[in-house]
Amino acid sequence: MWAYTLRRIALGIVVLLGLTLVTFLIARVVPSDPAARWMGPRATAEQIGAARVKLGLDKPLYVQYLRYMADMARGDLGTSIRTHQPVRKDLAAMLPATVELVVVGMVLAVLVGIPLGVLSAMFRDSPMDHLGRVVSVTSVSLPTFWLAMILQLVFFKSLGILPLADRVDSIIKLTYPLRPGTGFYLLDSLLQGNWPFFHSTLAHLMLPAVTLAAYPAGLVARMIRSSMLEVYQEDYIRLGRAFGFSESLITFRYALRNALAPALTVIALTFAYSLGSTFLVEAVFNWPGMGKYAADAVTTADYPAIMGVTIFIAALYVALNILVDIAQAVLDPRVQLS
Amino acid sequence: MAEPQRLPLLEIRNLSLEFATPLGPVYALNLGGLDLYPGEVLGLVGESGSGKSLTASTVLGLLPSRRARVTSGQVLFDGRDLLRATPAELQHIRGRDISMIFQDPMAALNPVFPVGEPLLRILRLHRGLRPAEARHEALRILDEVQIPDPAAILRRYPHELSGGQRQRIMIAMAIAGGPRLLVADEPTTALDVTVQEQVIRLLQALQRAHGTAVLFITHNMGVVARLADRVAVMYGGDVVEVAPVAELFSAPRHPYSRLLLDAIPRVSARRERLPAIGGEVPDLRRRPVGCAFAPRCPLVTARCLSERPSLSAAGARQVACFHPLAAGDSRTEALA
Repeated sequence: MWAYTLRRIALGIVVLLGLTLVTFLIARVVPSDPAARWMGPRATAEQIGAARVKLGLDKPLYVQYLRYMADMARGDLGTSIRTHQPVRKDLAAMLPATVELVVVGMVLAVLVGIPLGVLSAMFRDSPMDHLGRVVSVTSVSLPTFWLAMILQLVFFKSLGILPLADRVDSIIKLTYPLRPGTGFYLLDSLLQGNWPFFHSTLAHLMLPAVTLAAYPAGLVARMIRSSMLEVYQEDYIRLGRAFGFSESLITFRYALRNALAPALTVIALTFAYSLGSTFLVEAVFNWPGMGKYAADAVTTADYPAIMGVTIFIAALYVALNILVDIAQAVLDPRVQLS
Repeated sequence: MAEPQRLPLLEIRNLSLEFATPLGPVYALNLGGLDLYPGEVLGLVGESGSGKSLTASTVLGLLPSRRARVTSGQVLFDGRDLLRATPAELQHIRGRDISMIFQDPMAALNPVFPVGEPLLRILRLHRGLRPAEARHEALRILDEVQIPDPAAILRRYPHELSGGQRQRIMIAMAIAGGPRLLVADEPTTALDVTVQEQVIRLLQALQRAHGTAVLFITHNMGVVARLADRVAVMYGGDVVEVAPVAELFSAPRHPYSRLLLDAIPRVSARRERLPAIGGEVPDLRRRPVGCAFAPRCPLVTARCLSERPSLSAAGARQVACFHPLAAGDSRTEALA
């Protein structure tokens, strides 16, 4: 098991190294002068030249890359051209908002998707199955921004039970201020016992989290249903029936475990994907997260920020993949052998 | 051997089973009758597609597909019709009164659970044992099926065991509930020849020790000759002949039984070619009118094509044929 884990991690590091190289080269070949951006629109040629030296852009490309890698090894992702702040600091400020949103969204997706898939498979071709199919296919097909706006119309404008946008009510933020902590509002307010803040955060999370959860929930439900149906055909499931195990025991104790392994990959990859693609959700709900930061960085050719976000998300992808591989090895002991 | 005056443990009566297909129904089973007495080993033989395994699954109420449907008949276990039992009743019977050995233990053991898991569950479910007792009993049973180091094996996964060990685990599960009827569906087919021999010996020893009735499905005549008390020969979804094993081998009465026995390769008789049965297996999409074997039978007459022979008793033997072979029958030579 340890050898298996270490092998996966080593492979992950190689992937990340290759990725930094590719990202770095692409950022350098785009026709945009970072030094000119750094100095702003009114800079003179001398000022831009000085900035070029300051930013190390006058050195050969491989020197720039090695420097970049050396900085990164120390945890320095460079300085944003747009905000003139260290990228690491920017990310640290934006990240908790996005991670909180995505984690809540994925938990919702799993809590809805897995039972929906299991019930659809258990009661195949019944009204339950048809309903499950309609729900999951709809949630996969709805465009994110459209669903977000519909939810806002229904729950904010018509029913008036949930807030429109933002992470927390601005008045609550002033009257019950949160002491600095992890940056995850739910966690911080819970730890500090700040209940008004907690409730407000939770209410604000609902709509964006549901929006974000719709796609993965539908996907997970379909995946679980089809892998459950496949597993039901296996001899080891017939064996359970032949030995008088109840249908619910067979489904939840045995078949689900066999069916979970393929679904797990999908869940983890959608999780990583959601982290990198929350931009639309963050835009509609005015969520101060990483998606918004990345989009701003792209439109201003802020390459250190773009690279920082890219490498961060890639590292997350790799880490999640490793976790999935390990989880699958735990779920299915045969995996370690292959 | 079975004593005729005893009541059968298992009675199959007029069992018909169909598969719904896009091309219309396939009449897979059309079984007139079959009895199994307490403590006896009944071999069920026949070529592929004759309905042996299907009969076995139906006895346990496990239809192989959602398209399969029992259209008529009864499967009486201890006088109780299993085809009309509720799911709860079936759950109670399966694994406790009737259990099954699957053909391929690799496919029948869940790859993501240690092999001890289902065994312990059966002991707790059907014998009402507490976890510690179940574990103790599991070790005893594994010892009985001659598995070395049972405590370690309980924690192993199926892929970590050899084929023979997996089948021993399967057998351990089958006897764990203390069943009166054991359905063994080709339990040696997926094993190496040397392992087959060990498994057959083990089954024989266990059957004698526990007095369990066994419905033994196989296409291996050698295995039947060693294990079975009586043999039922199936053809085209029906039983065509039932006889004590020695009598069937020495003097088969149904022409199909005779041809089937002739097709066994023998080391002693050095023949150029093995005899094959002419014709093809019946098309089960048509409901047979007469005898299912009639199109391939050398002794066919007009009556065989229009009327279906039913299994009729003659002493300890039953045969479904209008022209059964007798000992020293001159037609026997014509068949060979």
